[in-house]
Amino acid sequence: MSDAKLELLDLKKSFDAVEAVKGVSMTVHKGEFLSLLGPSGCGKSTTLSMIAGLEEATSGDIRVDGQSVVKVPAQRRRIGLVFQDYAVFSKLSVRSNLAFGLEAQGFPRTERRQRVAEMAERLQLDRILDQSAGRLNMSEMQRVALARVLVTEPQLLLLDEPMSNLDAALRFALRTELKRIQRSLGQTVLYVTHDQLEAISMSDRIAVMRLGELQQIASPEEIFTRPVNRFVAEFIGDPPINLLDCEVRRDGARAAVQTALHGPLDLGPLEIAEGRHLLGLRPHTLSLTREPGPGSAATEVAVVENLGAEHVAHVTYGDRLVAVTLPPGSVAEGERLHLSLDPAQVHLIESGSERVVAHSLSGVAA
Amino acid sequence: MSWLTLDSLTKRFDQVTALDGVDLAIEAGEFFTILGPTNAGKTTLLHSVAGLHRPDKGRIHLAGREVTKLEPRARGVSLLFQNNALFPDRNGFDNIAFPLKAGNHSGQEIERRVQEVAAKVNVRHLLDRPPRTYSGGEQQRVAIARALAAPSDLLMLDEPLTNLDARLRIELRIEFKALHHDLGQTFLYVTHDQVEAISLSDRIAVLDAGKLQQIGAPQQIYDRPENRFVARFIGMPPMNLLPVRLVGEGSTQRLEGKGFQAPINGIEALAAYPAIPAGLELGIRPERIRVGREATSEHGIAAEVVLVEPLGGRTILDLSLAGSEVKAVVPARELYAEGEAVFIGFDAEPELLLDPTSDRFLR
Repeated sequence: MSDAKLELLDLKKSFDAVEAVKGVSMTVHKGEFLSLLGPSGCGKSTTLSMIAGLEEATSGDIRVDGQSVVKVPAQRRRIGLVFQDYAVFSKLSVRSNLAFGLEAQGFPRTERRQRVAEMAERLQLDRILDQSAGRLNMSEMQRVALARVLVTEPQLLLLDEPMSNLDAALRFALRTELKRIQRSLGQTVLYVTHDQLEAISMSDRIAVMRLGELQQIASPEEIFTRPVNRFVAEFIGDPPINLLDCEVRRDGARAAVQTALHGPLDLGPLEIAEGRHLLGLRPHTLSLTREPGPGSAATEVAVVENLGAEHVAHVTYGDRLVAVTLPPGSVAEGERLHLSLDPAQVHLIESGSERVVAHSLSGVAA
Repeated sequence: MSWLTLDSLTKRFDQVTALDGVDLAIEAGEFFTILGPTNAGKTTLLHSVAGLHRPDKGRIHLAGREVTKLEPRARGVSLLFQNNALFPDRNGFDNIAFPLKAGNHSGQEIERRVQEVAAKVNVRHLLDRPPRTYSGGEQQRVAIARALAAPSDLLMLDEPLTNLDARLRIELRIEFKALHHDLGQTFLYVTHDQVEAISLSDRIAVLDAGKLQQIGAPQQIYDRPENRFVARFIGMPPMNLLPVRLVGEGSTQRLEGKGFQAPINGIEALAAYPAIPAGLELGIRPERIRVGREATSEHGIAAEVVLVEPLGGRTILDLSLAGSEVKAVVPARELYAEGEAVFIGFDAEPELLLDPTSDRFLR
């Protein structure tokens, strides 16, 4: 594809007997913000290190603008790296921080000056160029860390969990700012994180990794509403998706699914074995009402969890609890209510393979 | 007297005042959280209560006695650190028994005490296994059992979830709430994460630069912040603060801002305030902003969508309202595009009018 900036082709990395990355293939397009998302040990940082040239790939290829870079040493790959906590040189001025990479690459003085001035203006650092970097606030620090790398005009900007040690409120503000900078410069970004919210809120696409393997690569909306398997469904979303035991029965060509309290819901001619599977229900797709509705089930509010802007009601469902998000103050603990699900927004997860085999059911009583 | 009281507690390190005259009263059995940014003084407060350092001024009372000058181990408090620091290869029993072995306890006493706390925290099935075989939640529970092994009047938790993966953090958050419920113990919890604070606590004290900003129940702190810091520190995104002027007379008084006019709900309340400056800022929580494509009485103020930030079930819209930035949160099923013209509406409440000279909301 012509607009491919970075291509990974069956990329593998083993450390002794441990396979950290087990054959990852994907493409990052020009100007795209792509996040590599997964828990600790999923191989995301190892993948990033191989792209940056800090680790050698065991096998497979890495191409930037169609050219293989696996044999190119790190300093000649024209890839910008921003690390955890931004690692700005606090003893140097903002100007020296920005010029640092250019000096290391041997740019002549006049060009250095010009590039630093231009980038400082674009990222609104021009007024603090002569301040010591040790006295910056975190927003300025983030911009210095980005500007320092961006002045070298990298083909690709890699960010390795830059916000993971920062305060929650600060992370939020820096997220929006980073997205705006990336957008205004049209910079291709590969962002590594374990925080699903960072990935969802900033990315054009997200690549979810687990145990060295790519699980799904898609837009945030698609990942959230159409996860391919149980892992992706559970890893994305706060509060997490509810996973309920369910029973599939077949009647001739048609199948239907039933939980402890809901169903049967028609699955049509879906290919799935009879027996126990899982039904995934996102907390914000469930509704609680005072009066019973068609297909609703009686329930009781066990605990209400306050998240400020919204509340999470944990309501009884057979012998367990199910989470439902609601506006603050809508229900009280101990209240008896009726729970309805939206058949258009349920995920049927096949036992064994743990694949999501249906994202939406017709909702017709079988 | 309350279970734990801090009386104008002050602590300086060289030139830096880490705690500046903090007064707190925490009740027995409460889940009480100290919330604030890095360097707010949260950990200094916790360490003062634990006795890890002496305050320069002020007094601390716990369970009916003054403990300000007592040695840490004489205070009857336990502290759970950020990293649970369990011995990965010793079994659960040895880990929990560890603090008891330093004292003069007989083997029988230790056995009895470990079994007792293990039952309380629901980890008896883990006593024979080492922590490297535990799940994240199980590790947390065993660490707490160890913290409680020596009898304690107060369990203090110092950012216990901070270094964990985001996903595990969400799971353990719920776990802490259940633990507090099961134990009935007084918890003093420290965090910079407002979601943890709001979802777990009975009450929250917001701390910034060594000074208490506000104490209250989570919803009270969220809905009725007392000053600019609390309004901006709590909430994701934080509360919008739009410059406004109070115009008109008596019951026709209304707010005028750049690009909008807004009536004030319960305007009578304004009469009770002493002098009200003409220049104010109006606080609006992003999820309270109504957004639509058509101008209606519910949303009639023209704005433009600048940036769309999805969060999964909800979406943040960065809006431009006559050039000022306003953030709104809408359900994810309402799809808006960047650059789209929209109409917004919101309610103005007297308690959410901020006096910019004092940075405090009108009260």
